[in-house]
Amino acid sequence: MKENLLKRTDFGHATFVVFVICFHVWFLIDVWGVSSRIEHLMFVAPLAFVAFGLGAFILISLYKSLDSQTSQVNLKPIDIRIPLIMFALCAYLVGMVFVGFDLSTFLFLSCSLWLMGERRLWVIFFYSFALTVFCVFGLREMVSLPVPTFFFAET
Amino acid sequence: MFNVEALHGATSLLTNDVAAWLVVPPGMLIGLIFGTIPGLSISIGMAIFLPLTLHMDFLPAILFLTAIFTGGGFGCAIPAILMNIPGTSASVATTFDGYPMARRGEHNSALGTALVASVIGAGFSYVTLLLFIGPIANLVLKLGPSEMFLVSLWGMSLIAILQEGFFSRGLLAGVFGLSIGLIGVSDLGVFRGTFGSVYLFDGVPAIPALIGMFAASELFNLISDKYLIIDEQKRKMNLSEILAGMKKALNYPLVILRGGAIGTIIGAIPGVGSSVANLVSYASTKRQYNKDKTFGKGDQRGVIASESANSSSEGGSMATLLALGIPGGGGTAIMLAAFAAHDVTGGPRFLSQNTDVVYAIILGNLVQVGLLAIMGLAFIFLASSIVKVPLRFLIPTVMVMALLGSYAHTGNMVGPATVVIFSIIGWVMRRYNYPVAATVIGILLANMVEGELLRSYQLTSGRLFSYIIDRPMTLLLLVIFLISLSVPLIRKFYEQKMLETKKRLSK
Repeated sequence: MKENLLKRTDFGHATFVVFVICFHVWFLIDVWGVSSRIEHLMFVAPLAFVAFGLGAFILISLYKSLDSQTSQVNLKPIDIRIPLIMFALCAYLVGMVFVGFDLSTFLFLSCSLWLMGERRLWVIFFYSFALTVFCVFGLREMVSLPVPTFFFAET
Repeated sequence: MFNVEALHGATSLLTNDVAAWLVVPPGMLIGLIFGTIPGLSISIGMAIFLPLTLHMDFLPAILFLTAIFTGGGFGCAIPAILMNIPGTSASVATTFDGYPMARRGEHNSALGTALVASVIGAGFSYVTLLLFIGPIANLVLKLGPSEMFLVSLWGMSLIAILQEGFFSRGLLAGVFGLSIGLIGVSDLGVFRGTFGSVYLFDGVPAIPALIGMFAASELFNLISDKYLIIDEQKRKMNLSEILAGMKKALNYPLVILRGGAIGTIIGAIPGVGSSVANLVSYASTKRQYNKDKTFGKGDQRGVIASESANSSSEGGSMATLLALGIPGGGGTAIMLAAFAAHDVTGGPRFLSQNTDVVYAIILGNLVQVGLLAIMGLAFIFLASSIVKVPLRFLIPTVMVMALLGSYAHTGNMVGPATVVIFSIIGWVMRRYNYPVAATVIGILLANMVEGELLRSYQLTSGRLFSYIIDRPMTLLLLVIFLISLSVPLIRKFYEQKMLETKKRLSK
C-alpha cells in the first residue's frame, strides 16, 4: 500500500507548489527585513498569505487525490529530449557570456538540430552556420550594444 | 470640439506633401517584420529607424513612425497565432484562442480574423480620436491613482477566469506572477528580492519573461511533433481561407466595436495601455459568449476581442501623446523623441495652435489603417508558410531568436537568462495545468497595481473609503467593474436555477 502511494504521489507537482510557497515566504521575509512599514507590506504581505493558503490547499488536495488514483493519470510521459534541450539552452546561455554569441549560437543550433532528429551533417552545419551569421551579425549591426563574439573582434 | 477648418488644412497638408506618403509603405513593412520576429518589438524597430526621421520633415517623419507602430501592432498577432509567442504584452490574449485555432489547422482563418479586427479596431480608434481628442485628453487628466488602480485591477480580473477547471491553480499562478513582478526597486525606493544584484534593480524584465513562459515552454512541448499542424492537408497557405476568416470576423461587429471602445479608452491611459486593453476586452467577451465553453480552445471571437482592443489602444495612446504630450509606452515615447528632434512639443498648446497638423497625423493614420488591410494580407499570406517548416528547424531557430531578441531588449544578459529560467518554470506550470498567462499578467501588472494602491493610500492618509466616496470617477469605474464581474455570475446562477427547475419538472 505504502509503495503504491509513493508511486502515485505527484512529486513534481508537489515540489513546484512547495517552491512557490517558499518563494513567497522568502520574499515576505526579504521585504520585512528591509522595512516593516505598512506601505512596504500592504501588497506583499496579503499576496504571501494568499499564496501560502492556496499552496497548502493544493498540497492537501494532492494528498487526498492519492486515494482516488487520479493524480498522475493525465500526465504524459516526459520525452527525454525535453530535459536535454533545456540543458542545451542553459549551456547556450552560459556560452553566450564565456565563449561568445557566435560560437555558442552555432553549437546550440547544431546540438539541438541533432537532438530534434536531423541526421544530415551537412544540413546541420550549413543551417547552423547561416542562421548564426544572420542572427548574431544582424544583431550586432542593428543594436548599439556590445555583442561578444569568439571569431570576429568588435567593430 | 471638432474643427472643420483645421480638417481642410489637414487634407491640404496631406495631399500637397507626396513625401509624407512615400515613407508609409516601407514603415509599415518594417513594423510588420519587427512585430513578427520573436523578441524584437515595435519600439526597437522605431528606435532603430528614428535617426532616419531626422532627415525628413515633421509630418513624413511622424507618419513613418506611426506606420511602423501600426504595422507592428498587427505584426505581433502573427507569432501569437502561429507559434503562441505574443510579440508584446499587447497580444497576450490573442494567443488564448489564436494558437489553438492554428494547431487545428485554421491558421489562415485566424490570421484573416486578426487582420480585420485590427484594421476595424484601429480605424474606430482614429475616428474617435478625430472627433473627441480634446475630451479624451481631459478625461485622462482627471484619472487619479484610485481610478488607475481600478483599471489595472480590471485587467487582473482575467486571472480569475483563465482556468475554469482548476480555479485555485489559476489564482496561485496569478499571485506568483504578481510577487515576481514586485522584485526590484519599489516606488518607495526599497530593494526587494534582488539578492543585491544590480541586474535585478529594475525587476524581472516582463517581455523576456513573457517570451520564456509562452513561447519557449510551448516549444519544449512541441519537441515530439514534426510540424505545428499535424495534418498535412491543413498546412497549406490558402488565400481563400484567409479571406473567409476576414469575412467571418465581420459577423461579430459588436465584439469588434466593444474591443475598439475598450482599447481606445484604456489605451489612452499612460502606462496601462494595450497590455491591459486586450485582456479586459477578451475577459468581457469571454464572459458574455462562453456558453459553449469554446473560449481558450480556438474561438474566433477571442481573437477578435483581443486584436480589436490592442489595435485601437494605439489610437488611444496617440490621444495622450498629441493632446497632453505624455507618452503611454515605448512606441509613443520614441514618437515624442521625434517631436523633440523637430522642435515640436506635444501638449494642449500644440493641439490648439496646430490643430491642422494634429488632424493630418490622425487622418494619415486612418489611411495607414486602410493600407494595413492590403499589406497585412500579403504579409500574412507569406508568414503563414511558417507552418510548413519542420519543427526540428523551427524550434531551435525560434529559441535562438528569442534569446538574442531579449538581449537586444534588455541590453544585457538579464534578458536571455530570464527567457531560459521562465521557459523552464513555464514548462513545469503547463505540465501541471497552471495557466502561464495568469503569471504573465501578474508580472505585467504587479508594479502598477502596487504603485496605484500606494499612491491612493498616501493621498488619503489611510482613509481610502471616504476618498472613494468623494470621487465620482472612481465610483463610476467601481460600479462598472463590479457589474462586469457580477453579471456573468448572476446569469450563471439563474441558468443553473432554470436547469434545476426543468429537471424537477421533467421528473
